[in-house]
Amino acid sequence: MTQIPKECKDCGLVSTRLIGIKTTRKLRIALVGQPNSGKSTFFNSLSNFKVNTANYSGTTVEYHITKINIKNYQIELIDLPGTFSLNYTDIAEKVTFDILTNINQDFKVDGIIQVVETVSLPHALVLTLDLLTLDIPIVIALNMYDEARIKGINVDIPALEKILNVPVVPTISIKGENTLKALLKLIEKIEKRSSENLSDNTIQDQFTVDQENNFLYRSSFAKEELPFVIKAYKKLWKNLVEDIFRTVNCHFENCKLVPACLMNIEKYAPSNKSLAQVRDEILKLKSNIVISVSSFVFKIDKPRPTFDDIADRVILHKFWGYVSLTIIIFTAFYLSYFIGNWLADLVDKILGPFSGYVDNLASNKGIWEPLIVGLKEGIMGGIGIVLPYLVPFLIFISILEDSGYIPRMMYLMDNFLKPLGITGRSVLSFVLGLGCNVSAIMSLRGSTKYNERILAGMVIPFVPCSARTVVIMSLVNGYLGFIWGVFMYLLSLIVIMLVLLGVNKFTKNNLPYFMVHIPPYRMPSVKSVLTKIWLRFKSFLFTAWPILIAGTIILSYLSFFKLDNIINYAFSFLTVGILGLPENTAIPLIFGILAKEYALVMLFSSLDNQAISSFMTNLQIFIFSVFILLYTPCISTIATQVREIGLKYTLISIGLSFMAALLIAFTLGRVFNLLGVF
Amino acid sequence: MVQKGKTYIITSITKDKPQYMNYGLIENAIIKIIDKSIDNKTIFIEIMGFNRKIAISEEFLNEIILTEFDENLKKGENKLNDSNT
Repeated sequence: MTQIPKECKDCGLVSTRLIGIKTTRKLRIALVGQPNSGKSTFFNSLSNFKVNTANYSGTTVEYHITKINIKNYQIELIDLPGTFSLNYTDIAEKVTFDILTNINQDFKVDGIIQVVETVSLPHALVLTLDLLTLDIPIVIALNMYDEARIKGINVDIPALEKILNVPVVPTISIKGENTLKALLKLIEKIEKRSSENLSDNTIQDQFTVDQENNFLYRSSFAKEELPFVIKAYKKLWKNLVEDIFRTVNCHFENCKLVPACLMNIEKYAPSNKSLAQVRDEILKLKSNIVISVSSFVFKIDKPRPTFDDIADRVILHKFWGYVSLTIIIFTAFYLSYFIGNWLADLVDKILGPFSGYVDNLASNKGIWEPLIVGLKEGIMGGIGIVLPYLVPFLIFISILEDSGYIPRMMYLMDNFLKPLGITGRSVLSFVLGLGCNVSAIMSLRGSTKYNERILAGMVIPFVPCSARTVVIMSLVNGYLGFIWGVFMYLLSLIVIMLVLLGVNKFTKNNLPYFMVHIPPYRMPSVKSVLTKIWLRFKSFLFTAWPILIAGTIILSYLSFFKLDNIINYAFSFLTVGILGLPENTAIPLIFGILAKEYALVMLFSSLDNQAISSFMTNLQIFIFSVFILLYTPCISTIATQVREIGLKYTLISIGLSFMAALLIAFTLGRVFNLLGVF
Repeated sequence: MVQKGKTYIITSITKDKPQYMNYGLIENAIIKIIDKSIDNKTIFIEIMGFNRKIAISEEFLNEIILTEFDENLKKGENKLNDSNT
């Protein structure tokens, strides 16, 4: 295979023209689709590799690759971030654009499976028509076909295949139905295409150039005309656009990037209005094709109003919408706490005798004693303190993600967030932040505006993640009562609002507009929820837990050699002097920077199984929890912040959170002490 | 200003057409205003025939030229087409 890289003089994009036919048995196949079309579920059904899925746009913000062997081919299957068209509007969509157009020249895609959410096929055609201009073999997977049938939607698949000249396979990826069939169809098409010497000649020209150009000025087409209109549409991209590029001495003949490049011309050549005008003319034809195709192949037979219509009347209501939002959030947190408590008690009963046995075993073992005790503390800390609260909370987050409620939250919250300098779209990141700040910051790639991304990226570490929820539920709820747990969340909310207001005023952020899809409601499937929990639990199991165990062993040895007192004394100006905490809370606070739940486990560990209440007053427990809640983000979050918003803003964010933690913990401690609250 | 419950046809899009197309807002598509937020600044719309609902800032919608669409007229046209076929 020979590649001739060429660079566009105007826009800087690089095109790769291929000469010769690929003889290798390796194929690279991309799963492309609009956000929330089920690509990741499709990907999961074809591989053992599991990626996270959800019922909102933008779950996948970077691509995932897996290798599978089919029909003597080694297939490299890529799950690309969702994109609405080749006009990318955020970083995640640009990843898809770059790969599909092979901008980096080292990642040529041999075939595309366009995963389409069947219920919104007409909208998906916007992307289909763009993909057709890339001249890469395509198969369309009409995904969630069962849901479409239930909703009274009928798709005339043979007609769609004929019009687009593309194989169409109905699939139910969550059940794994027909996903392999779609892949086999694509392989077949790639093989056929190779034998046809890389050209699409299956539709013979029937119209003259004048007739083809005339399509530009028509708003509707007969069903029989559409295959030719689509072929003409592809030719128009090439002919009209290449004319223009030739006049500006830019692109070269047969460049595959022309349509893709023009879709984003405002980004590359904002001053060149004429190119945008030509592009818009072709897009008008594209709009008319989409509407015509839809009218022939897509029928909805269900009477209105549907379940979604009725539910939205309540969920998005100006008053009841906010009432239901409050009830949903409150119930979910209360249930997480209730179930968490029950699980913690259960684990305590089961592991209690085991703990005593290990302590007896470790006694008088000399240098090995701290190792055995530290190991036990780390393992039991994970099972007895972290997991009981983590798992119910993850179930709640997963159900929320799959139900389709989060985009509705975005709509409800948009009004309130605008004065703070962010749009409703950021709600997604904040809700994800309740699970993990890392994935929340990653999700900001879906934000269209740089300013909003920076602002939200700096503030997200204030969102109480699941690790901090473990601290709140175990320490605050457990020792101070449920109402103080609620207070902690409200405190986080107030701090987030104040920081947003402050930073927004300082940076004078230009508020981006807001546009978001509202997906249909879906009943979360048990399989999907369990997969999500496993994916998140796995990161705790294989990353956080081993470090936690190592931490408790280190603490155990520090204690054995009496070194912990030195460290605790060194930080006593902060713990004792400013915060009024016991001296040996310093080491748990230091470990909390690695991950927030460590602080809690290390606190229990440093007390040698004494009850916290005999060691700290309720006020001290409160101050310790407030400080943990707000002070510096964990190390993984810091690393993600540096990557996503840069070192400068990360340092500002760390400084802000540390100052806020110090100031608020100190002030509330003094005020509550004076008032005698505890 | 668009009104709740009314139906409009998208006559043209004045700025950054591809971005609107990304959300299914394409020329000649029909949209219905389902609801508005408390401050009337965020609008909840349905793109008829596309089975798509979107929430959109009023400022975004201002870039689209809309013509009020008479649904009864459309129904009448459909009936006429049916009788012709």
